[in-house]
Amino acid sequence: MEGLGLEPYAGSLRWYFHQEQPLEDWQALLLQFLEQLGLACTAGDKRVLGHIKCLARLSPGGYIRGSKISVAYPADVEVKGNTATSFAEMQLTLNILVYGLPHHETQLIVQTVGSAIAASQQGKIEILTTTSHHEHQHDHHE
Amino acid sequence: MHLLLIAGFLGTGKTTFSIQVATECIRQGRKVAMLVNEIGEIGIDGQLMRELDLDVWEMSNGCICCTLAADLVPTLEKLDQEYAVDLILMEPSGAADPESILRTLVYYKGRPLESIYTVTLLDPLRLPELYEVVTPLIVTQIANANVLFANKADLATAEQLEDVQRIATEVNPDAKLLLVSARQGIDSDLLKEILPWKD
Repeated sequence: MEGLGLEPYAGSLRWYFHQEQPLEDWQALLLQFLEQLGLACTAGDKRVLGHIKCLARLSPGGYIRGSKISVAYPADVEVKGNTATSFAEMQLTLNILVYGLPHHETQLIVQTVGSAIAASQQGKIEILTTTSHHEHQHDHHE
Repeated sequence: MHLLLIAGFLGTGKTTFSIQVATECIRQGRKVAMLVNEIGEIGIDGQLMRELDLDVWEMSNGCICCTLAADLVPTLEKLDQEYAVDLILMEPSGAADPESILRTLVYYKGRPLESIYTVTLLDPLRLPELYEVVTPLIVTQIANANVLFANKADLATAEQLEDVQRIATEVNPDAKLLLVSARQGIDSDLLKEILPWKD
């Protein structure tokens, strides 16, 4: 881990379509998003994927959440609780924790990957908030 | 008041595990507070726990083992004074060093902590790789555990589980290693093993 800083990214994103999409399509979209984020975030030397995770609250007690922990294993998306079976937009909280990936690159990756996926499905993505750069160094036992 | 620290690297399944521990405590009639630390500014785990109606206190935008260490003790003291819980279930960020957290606890001046127990979750699918590249963090997380849980055991191969056993024994031969799948549900007898009450 020596020399590999951790610059956490946290953002709030809004995905939307002109028409309602079935829940299964939203799940597929999130899977695709997480897989592509995983690839893009680890493209480069000395990067270690810690965790890419996201959550959208869909109704009181109902949510969809996703997780990607390694490029070697598929992302996981699950829906819990009572949710609508189709909807046109979703507000997603996204956390990206990749050692060795600068914050500004993560922001660019989220924008690029998100926009490409949204466009391919005639939808749009809007990045509502992102956090400021904050480097976290955890080499204190060395 | 007891303290249960649930440590483990990012993505090992700490939140899923913590929720099951909290649910078991509540089922036993105990009052539990979950203290969740996320390194990012906008946390996800706390939101999820609230969705499940758990009592959650969040410490975000930093790590309680270093940048937020000064806030940890006042938060614990507030939980003690205002909420009088039976158990604080503390889930630090996956980038946290549990040893630093445990060192910080000596400054706590509330009701004496009747027990402090550390559980570390390990991910068999990634542990050998992480042990190579983020060695100090993985070592301290294993070394400071009273008990180790190899989570996602249902997804791991026999070889991966052997690797977990080897690394666990190398770093902390005294800690018991248990195989679980938090996603599939943890047996309540196993959960009771880490809870301070034996009734």
